[in-house]
Amino acid sequence: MMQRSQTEIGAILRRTLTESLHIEVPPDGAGLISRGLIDSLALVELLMAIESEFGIRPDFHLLEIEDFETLGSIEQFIIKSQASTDISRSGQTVSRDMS
Amino acid sequence: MDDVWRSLARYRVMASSRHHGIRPFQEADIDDVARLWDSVLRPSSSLLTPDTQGFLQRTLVSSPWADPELPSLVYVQGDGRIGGFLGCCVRRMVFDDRPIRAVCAAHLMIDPTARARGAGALLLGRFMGGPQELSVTDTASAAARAMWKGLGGHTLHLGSVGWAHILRPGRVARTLVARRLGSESWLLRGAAQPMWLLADVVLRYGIQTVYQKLPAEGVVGGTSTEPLTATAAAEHLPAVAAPFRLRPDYDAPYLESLFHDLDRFGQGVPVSRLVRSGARVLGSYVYLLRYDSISPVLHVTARERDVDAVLGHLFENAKAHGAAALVGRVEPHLQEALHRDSVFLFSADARRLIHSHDPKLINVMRSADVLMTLLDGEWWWH
Repeated sequence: MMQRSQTEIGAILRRTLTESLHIEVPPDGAGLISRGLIDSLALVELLMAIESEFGIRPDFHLLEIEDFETLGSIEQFIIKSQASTDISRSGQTVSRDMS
Repeated sequence: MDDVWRSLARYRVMASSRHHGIRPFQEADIDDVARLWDSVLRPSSSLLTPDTQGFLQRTLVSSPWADPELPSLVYVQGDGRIGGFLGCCVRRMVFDDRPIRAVCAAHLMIDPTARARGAGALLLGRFMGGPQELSVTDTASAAARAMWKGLGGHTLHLGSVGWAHILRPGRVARTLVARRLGSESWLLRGAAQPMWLLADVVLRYGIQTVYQKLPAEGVVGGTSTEPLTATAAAEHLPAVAAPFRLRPDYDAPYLESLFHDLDRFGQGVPVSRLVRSGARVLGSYVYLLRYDSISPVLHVTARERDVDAVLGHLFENAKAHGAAALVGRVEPHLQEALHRDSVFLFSADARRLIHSHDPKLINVMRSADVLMTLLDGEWWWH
C-alpha cells in the first residue's frame, strides 16, 4: 500500500467522514467522540474505511478511544499503524529470506 | 498449568485496571455490572430473575468452563465507573476431532452516557480479536449486527429462522394478545374465557382438518424416554453427537453446572429427556415448559435418522404437560425433520452471528455438519 503524506491522509479522512459516514466534521476537526459525532457504529465504519483506504487492520488491543477524538489524532493513528505494518512486513521478508 | 493462567489473568487485570478503556471483567465488578444491567438491560430483558449478581456469578465466573484467557470485558470510563460490558461465555467444542474454544458473546450493554464514545465498538472489536477459534451470538440488535458485520462477522441465516409447533391454537392466540395488549386487557378477563376455549376447539379442528395428522407423527414404536440428567448426558451425548464435525465437548462438571443454572434461571420448568429404542440412545431434548403458554425448545440432539423420533417424543411430552405451543430455532440437523405438516417456520427476531479467523469453521457453521443448539448459546434469553 502506497504511503501518503499527512496532508493527503487528512484530506482523505475528512472526505470519508463527510461523504461516506455523513459526519459533519467541525472546522477544527476536534471533539469527534466527546461531542457524540462518532458513535460505535460510525467507529466501526470509520475503521473499515481506514482499512480499505490505507490497508491498516486495527489491533483492538492497542486501540484507544482517544485515537479518534480529533482529525489530527486519527491521522497520527494511521501514520503509526502504517509504520508498524511496514516493520512487520519487512520482518516477514527477512524471515522468509533467512529460511 | 491452571496456576499459570490464573497468575497471568491476575497480572492482566492489575496492569489494566489502572487505566480507563477496555479491561477484563473481574469478580469484584459484579455489583457494578449488575447495576448497569438493571438500568440499561432489564427494561427490555426477558431474564426475570431478580438476582442479577447471582446470575452473572454463576454463568460467567463460576462456570467450569470459565477461562482466564477468554474473559468478559468491561469498559471503564474516565471517571473510573464501568460504562460498558460484554459477557463472554466459553463453550468447549470439538472440530474435526480436535478441541477448540468457542465463546458466546452476551449482554452487550453500554451506559447511555458512554454510548457516544464508541465503547460498544471497542468492546466488540476487542472480543472478536480474542484467542477463541469461534465467536457466536444469538441475540444481536440491529446496531450490534451492523458492527459485527463491519468487524468481519457473518450472519447465519438458517439460524435466524424459527419453528413453531402449535398444540393449543386458542391459547397461543391468547398469549400473543397478552404480549401485545398487556395482561390487563378486557380480552383476557374471566368473561372472555369461553371465547378462547371456543377458539381453541375451532382452530384446532381447522388445523387438524387441513393437516389431518397432528401431532403424533414421528413417534416410533418401541421407543421410550427417561430423564436426561447431567450424568446421563455426559455418558450418552458424545456418541450421539460424534457424526458431527463441529459439536460440543461436554463433560460432567459443565453439564452439572448447566442443568443447575437451567433450574435456577430458566424462564420455565426445564424438561430434559433422553430418548431410547431399547438399549440404543436415539437422542435427547430440553425445553422450558410454560403451562398453557409458548414453551421454548433449547436442545434437540439426534443423528439424522433419529431426529423424527426424538421430535415426536418432544411434541407428545409438551402436549401431555399442557404447553400451548413449542418454538425453537431451525438448526441444520433438524431441517429435514421439520418439514412436517404440523410445524410452521417464521423469521425470528434474533439473529445468530458468528466470527472466526478460520474459513473452515465458517463453512462448517453454515453446513449440516454442525451441532450447536440454543443450549450452547444464550438459553437464558428465552
